[in-house]
Amino acid sequence: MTTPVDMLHQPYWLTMGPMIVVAATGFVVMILEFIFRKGDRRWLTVLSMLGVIAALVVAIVHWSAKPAFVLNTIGVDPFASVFSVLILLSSFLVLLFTLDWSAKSRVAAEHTYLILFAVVGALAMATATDLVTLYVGLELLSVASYVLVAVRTHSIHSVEGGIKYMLMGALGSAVLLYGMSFIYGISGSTNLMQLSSMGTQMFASYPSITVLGFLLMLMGMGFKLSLVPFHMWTPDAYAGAPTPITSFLATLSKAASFAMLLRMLIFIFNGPGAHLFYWAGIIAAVTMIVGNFIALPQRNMKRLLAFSSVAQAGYILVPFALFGVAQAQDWTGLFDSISFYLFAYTFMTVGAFAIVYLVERDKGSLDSDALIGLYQRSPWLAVALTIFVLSLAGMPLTAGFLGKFYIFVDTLHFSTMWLGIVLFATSVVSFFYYIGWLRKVFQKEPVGEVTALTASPVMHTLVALCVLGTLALGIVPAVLLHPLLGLTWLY
Amino acid sequence: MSLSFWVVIAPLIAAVLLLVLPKMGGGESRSLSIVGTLVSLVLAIVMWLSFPAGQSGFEFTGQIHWFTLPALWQAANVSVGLSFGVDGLSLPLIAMTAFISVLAMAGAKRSIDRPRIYYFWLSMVTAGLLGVFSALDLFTFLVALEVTLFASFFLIQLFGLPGSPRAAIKFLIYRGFATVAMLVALVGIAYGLTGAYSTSGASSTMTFSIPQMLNLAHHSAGGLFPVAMQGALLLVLLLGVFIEEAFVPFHTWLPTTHEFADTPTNMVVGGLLTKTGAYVLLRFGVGMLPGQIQHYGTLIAVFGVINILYGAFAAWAQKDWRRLIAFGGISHMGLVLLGIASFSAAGLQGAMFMIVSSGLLTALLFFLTGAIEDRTKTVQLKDLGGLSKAMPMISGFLLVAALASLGLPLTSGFISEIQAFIGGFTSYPAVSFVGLGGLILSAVYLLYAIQKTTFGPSAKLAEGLSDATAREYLPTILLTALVLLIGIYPNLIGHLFNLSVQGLLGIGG
Repeated sequence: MTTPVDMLHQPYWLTMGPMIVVAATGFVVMILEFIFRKGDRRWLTVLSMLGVIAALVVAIVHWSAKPAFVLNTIGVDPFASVFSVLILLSSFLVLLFTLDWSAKSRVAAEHTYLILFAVVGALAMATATDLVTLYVGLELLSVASYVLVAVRTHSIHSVEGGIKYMLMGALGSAVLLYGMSFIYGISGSTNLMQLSSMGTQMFASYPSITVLGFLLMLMGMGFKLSLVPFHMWTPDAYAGAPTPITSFLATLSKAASFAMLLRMLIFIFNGPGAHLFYWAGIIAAVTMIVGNFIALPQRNMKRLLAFSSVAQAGYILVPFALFGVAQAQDWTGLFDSISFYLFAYTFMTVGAFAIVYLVERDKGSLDSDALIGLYQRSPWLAVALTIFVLSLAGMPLTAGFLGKFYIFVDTLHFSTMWLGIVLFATSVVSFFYYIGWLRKVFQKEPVGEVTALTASPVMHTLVALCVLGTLALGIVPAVLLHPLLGLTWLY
Repeated sequence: MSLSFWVVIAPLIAAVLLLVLPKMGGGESRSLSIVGTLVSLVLAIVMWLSFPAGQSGFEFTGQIHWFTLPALWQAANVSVGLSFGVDGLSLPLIAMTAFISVLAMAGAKRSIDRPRIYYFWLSMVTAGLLGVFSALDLFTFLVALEVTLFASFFLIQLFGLPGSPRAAIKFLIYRGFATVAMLVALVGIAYGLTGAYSTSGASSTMTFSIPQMLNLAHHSAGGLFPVAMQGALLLVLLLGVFIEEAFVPFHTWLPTTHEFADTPTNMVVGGLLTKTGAYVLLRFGVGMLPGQIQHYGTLIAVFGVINILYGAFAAWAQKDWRRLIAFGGISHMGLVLLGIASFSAAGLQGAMFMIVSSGLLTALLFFLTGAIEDRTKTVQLKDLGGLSKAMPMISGFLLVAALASLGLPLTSGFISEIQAFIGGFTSYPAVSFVGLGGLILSAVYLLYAIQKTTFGPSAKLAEGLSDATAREYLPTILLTALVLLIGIYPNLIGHLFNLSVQGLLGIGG
């Protein structure tokens, strides 16, 4: 007979702790939301944030826990812990963001627990070691996201973006599942542990089906990660969704999808299938080039950030492509650079969206001309936007530079320098559009009269947190790099 | 903490103070930025005076552990430090940077809108430049290089003449690519050097420390890491240097930038920022890939001469003083390429002299033409004329600067040209002979411009204009004095880099 206290020491708690906390918070918030239908319900969001913080504490405690797993499907290893922390951190920032938004615009309060359930799905994607569980996590995240994008039911753009996102997302899921079914068909297993020892055998017996499985799974996740050429939905969904939800799609959803892609493909296709990762390198190069070039003519700020996030996904895919070239003992560096860049990316992207949101609300326009004279309207926000944009462009003393530098050094290490060169050359292209914003921000002659841009304390806190994260990772990267030192990432 | 550390930090502290201190007016901002850079200048002079004779290594070094990049190289961690130090190659450039920056700040106009931001970026670009010249860690170096990039971008963008935003974007894109090429080449060299060592059986540790990299290059004698890779890396490095230095055919950003930037920015960009590429070529190219520099010597020499001649011809064709100075600078820096290509003591010394001389003279010329523009509101040659009557002092100094630029004996220009050509003739006589044409052409375009500006019938706009003010005398006299001092007593800076040059030649030479 086990008591609830014993439960806390169970492997269940060790492996699923954050997930349990977030799911429980989600149910509580959902029930409370039914009970208190009237009045200001922002305290529900605050409650959700507290739940996320509690889950974050649990995840950090397990940061370098010994690998353990339950039911053969959910496990904890440093990989799971690092990505759980990343997911919970970005969900905290996103919830903080929605706190201001739900106060300012009349939206259904369902979004709070929808986000929490999406986070549960995301955590499952980071921790599961079984294809079925991973897929369920992905669907939980996706279905919640479809609703979140379309949550402004009175806005045609929101609904359009939601529909597009759902159609493309469903297509991606189907392709992914199709790929998984091939792998299951030739191996008879969905468990990643078993699959990882069957790689050689699968390749020997059914080489072409294994390759097909790899490509379909990469394509399916390519939809979720908006890699070129599966990125078409990105600008519409990003522009249509309410901005806090856009930041959710761009950071949390992407980080979880990267975690899942990494775990899935590395476990199944290590060893003889390693050369397949080269395809990811080609997709990375195409994504970086196309993403940066189509961002050039964009005037809509959210669409520009959408394309910029396409390009950023390309950067993160670069170390991913190197898994094929690297020996297993060298993987640590690649995990380090991917997770560092994702942390950096989370801070700078949420920050940039926060300021776009404030500017849009102030001027009622998403055209980048709305940025004109931002420096006169709010010097602090102008400086913050400058930091985010310089970081996205990869300027030093910001998180973005170190992230790119780290990835670049990886490409050198594994003699895939051409990818590193593409990475930096396309970042120079990105200077054009990022600096185009800065020109407007610091433009001397504002059009019309200058009115001060005011923001709520919540938004100031959010922007300050993101500035802090972006600068801290750029100036004292040790705060993240040193905890990463010496982690043995996988089982 | 070492002296070299404070040299870089002092302007940075000034910059931070400029941002955080409340209620800073124009005068206070200016004083604060001057004080910050003046500290660097004083420290540079202290290092200069106490620089141990007969030393070719790095002195006044200081290192602070910054962070560790996990599992960077064969599952080993690589430590990244904030590391500074000086040797005979960098000390003259550091001193020159602090000197010209102080004068640029001191000579800036009183009426600048948003002075805080202006002096902030000016201090930042100074700190960045000092960091570039004194960095002893590759990461520190790259960070400093990028700081110079966006600091000067903002100076051009925010404080230039009307139309400057376009020039600023051009500047950013060109130099952005240069930085990328250099980053690729330098990190590649770091990997190559360590990789080279490991194949020889010795245990290798990946390092970004520049002295250690130089050491490795010294020991492997350039023969241990694959020659094809060395060659490829040198070509990438050259691409970066060529854009950075505005060498033909990547030069178009420089005249545009100078045309639209204001005077202090021009002094910093023309006098200092365009010397970073040459420094990179000396430090990393000659220092770490000496064999490849010799291998591609002819190519570099030919490009040097193309630049000498193209720059001079283009300068002759200009109608605007600023563009003329820009092309004149390109022509002069072509001589640096020739000197480096020669791979001889005289050539490398000539290159160093030319970097310093061109820096000082470009700054002086921009300052004087800026002073003229303040009064006449134009720098178009056709509109100017007869200024020597209204402003004899400015015209006189302009003549001295022009004469020094064309290499009159007893000026810094002379010693630079003669040394670089001696070096060039020993290695590539035919190419150098063609390059001599540049000497004649520089006399033509400079004297032509002087004649249009200061002599001849007095133009209407010259009437009733005042001569130099006290604010303008200081930079003018100090810069001119230094130009003459180096010309008369070259050993003033020569003794610093002679040994370093010998050290560079000792490797694989």
